[in-house]
Amino acid sequence: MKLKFKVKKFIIDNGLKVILIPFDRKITSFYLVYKVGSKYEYDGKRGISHFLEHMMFKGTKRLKPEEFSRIIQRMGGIDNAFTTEDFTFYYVTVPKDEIYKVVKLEADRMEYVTFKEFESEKKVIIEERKESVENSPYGKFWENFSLLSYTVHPYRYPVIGFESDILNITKNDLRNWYNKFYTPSNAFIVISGGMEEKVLLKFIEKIFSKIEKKDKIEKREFYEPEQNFERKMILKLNSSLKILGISFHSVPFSHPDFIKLSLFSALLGGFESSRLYRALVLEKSLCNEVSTFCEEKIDKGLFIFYTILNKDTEFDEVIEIFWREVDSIFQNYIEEMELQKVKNMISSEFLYKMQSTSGRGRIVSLFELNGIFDKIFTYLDEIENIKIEEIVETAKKYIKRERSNYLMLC
Amino acid sequence: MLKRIYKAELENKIKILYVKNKELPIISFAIGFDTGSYLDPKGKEGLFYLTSNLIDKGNSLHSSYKIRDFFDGIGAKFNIVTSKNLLIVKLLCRVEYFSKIADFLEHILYYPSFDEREIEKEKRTVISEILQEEEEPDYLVSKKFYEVLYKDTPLSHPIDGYIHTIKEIEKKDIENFYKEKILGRKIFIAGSGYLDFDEFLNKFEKLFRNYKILSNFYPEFRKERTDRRILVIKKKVNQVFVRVGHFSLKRKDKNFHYLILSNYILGGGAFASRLFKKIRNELGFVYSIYSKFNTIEPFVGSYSYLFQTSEENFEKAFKKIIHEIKKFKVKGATMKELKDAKGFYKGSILREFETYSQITNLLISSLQYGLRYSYVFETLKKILSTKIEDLNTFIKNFYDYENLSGVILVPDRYDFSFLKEILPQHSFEVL
Repeated sequence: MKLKFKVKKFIIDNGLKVILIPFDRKITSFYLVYKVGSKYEYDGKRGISHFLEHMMFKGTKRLKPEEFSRIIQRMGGIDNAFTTEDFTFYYVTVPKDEIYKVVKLEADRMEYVTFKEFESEKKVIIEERKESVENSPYGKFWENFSLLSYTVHPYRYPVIGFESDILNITKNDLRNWYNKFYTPSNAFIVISGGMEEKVLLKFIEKIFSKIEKKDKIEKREFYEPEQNFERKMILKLNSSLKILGISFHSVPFSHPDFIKLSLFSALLGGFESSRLYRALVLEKSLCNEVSTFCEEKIDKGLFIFYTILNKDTEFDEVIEIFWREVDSIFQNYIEEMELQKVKNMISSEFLYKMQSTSGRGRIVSLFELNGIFDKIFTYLDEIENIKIEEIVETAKKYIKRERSNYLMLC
Repeated sequence: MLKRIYKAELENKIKILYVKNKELPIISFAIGFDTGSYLDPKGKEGLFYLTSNLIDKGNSLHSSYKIRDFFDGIGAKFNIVTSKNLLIVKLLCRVEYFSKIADFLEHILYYPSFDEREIEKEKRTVISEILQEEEEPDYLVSKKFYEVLYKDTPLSHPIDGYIHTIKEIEKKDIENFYKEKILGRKIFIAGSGYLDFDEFLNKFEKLFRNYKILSNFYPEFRKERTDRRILVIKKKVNQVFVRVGHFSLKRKDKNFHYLILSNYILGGGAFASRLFKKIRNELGFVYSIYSKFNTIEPFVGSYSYLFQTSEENFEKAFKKIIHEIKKFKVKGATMKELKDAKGFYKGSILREFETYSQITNLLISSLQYGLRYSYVFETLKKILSTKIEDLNTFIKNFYDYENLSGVILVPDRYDFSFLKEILPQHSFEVL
């Protein structure tokens, strides 16, 4: 299947990249991505990127706290943001004629955030951490899974930060973080949906070029030592919920092996007709949720198997079946038809995402962020041309017993 | 994307709505069944949910695995979605597979095998899910909210039932329920996609030409005022989780647009809402707080307030929320709030029909509510012409801080006695 849509990329003098994806819509989605996330943080201040994301809604020299969102809502739009280990993502969707106002608003908060209501927002973030991590078995699971899976790389730390760190962050810390990372050359914009391309681009240039070009941020490399022994952790919560996760260090999204590992992951547990879903859910009813996936990260992400066990199912039985299915693919390979099924699923998912302004915008953002913007249109062809042997031989390099991390929550 | 809407009615009164759009070579469609967990018999709560989950777990021709393999093999998304008052079979696929899928559906819908082994596996899964839900405070509070609000009615029990009732369900219960209370109920069909309407219609005419509606029974109950009952759940947590509320309107109610507007202003409008501004932004007491309405046609809906906060802030937060509701009821909304809310709905309607699935959902809802397919636009028109005096009259009559019912989940040793002072006429039950 050929993927076709119009997309154009520009760079403004101050280093800000702008990507336009015009298509026939009455609405337009605007994405602003800053290339800073929790992996750039230091001990004692973990969670600062996420904290800053909250403060971006707290007003500028021109706007009162939350006024940004209220203006967007008055237009009938929606806005929000999220922070990951690698980046911070702001998004707005509005009726297409209102996109010019959004450009102005985003340019304003790239320069003039004032950090009002700092103390009350700190309390809000503590509440968020309590709700999403401390009082949620799923939150506890994911926080500990990262801590177990990485020993050195900052991907091990929670994006929201630890409570002591959040309490330790000052307004000045936030200001410094903002000044350092929220610069035109450390960001890019993706606009997707209805638009007058030329007029919009001119307008963006006019508004954003007023923002001063800043020194390039020194690139930091992050490292995780090769793992060559199994690690296991049991999280005893006396819960009736049982979750098992198995992780392996994998590759960055931009690495050529990523697509092959993704296909392997889909075959193994990515869909309801996958090997693990069939064995664990359909045949034996040992689990009620099964998934495998490759994290789409800038550095080496994880290959993850995640499952929720049914009552009375033993962890060992599930682990045994996991390895039995992996070994079966490694030894016997797979039929061409099975591979074609997975390829169909992945290419259809792509097509479904193309329906919306947000879907197109997110796909393009992901490729741009990972430095492989040019691959957008060849990605599906690449998937189509991958052979069974390539998938299996690639998976064998990463999915090894001595490289596995097991987390059992019960 | 919302262009011409095609309509048809089959001889057996099944209504079909369709929107053609050739932008992408895909199609979305849905078959809605006018059924729900309110039809569960006493002592067999969870029967509707269990039966629905078993529809795609094997039939006369295909095993559970083969069904999944078929849909995955052609990259289609197939889902059976259940709620207290509806079952929807949903499909999203590439247009070239539409015909094949429609044929395949015949076996899924008409000949499910309800095999004993599959039933036992599904029961095990549902029981595990029920246990898991108990571990997530947010989820638990919402689930129990309906039990408290709709006490002694067919809407009270959770859709997935209780562990002891699931265990009681037998194969014959499932077969009978499917035959009479799912297949025998009114259905409606909607779709949107690349295909011509005639082709769409032909397929469904063939699939449903022999379909017979056996029953349109709805249990009757009267619930207008809450029992003023608060269920307090004690758990090992370090926050308090709350969902309290009262009864609301049916979707067909002539005042429904006032409910949409006033809810946006009080607690439904995220950053723009009063509760968000006061409790989160100014006081920093909560991460999320909102109010919402739920419709459960043809029954009376619910209106509720949801938030979570640290135990040390709970008393202050709760008092402040009650104060805000009271103020809203007495003084109403301001002109500016009404203007902002109108702006939101005027623009947001453009986001409602972007994808094929969104359009299908809209059409299914209109058929479910028995409203015209243009009901969204008619509602918008009413919203935009709303006068502040009329809105405030509605607010005065609708909002109710004295008759709240619901659930409060608190840390193990938490002393909640102050609640009895704030809600003196309420009964409290501790779980």
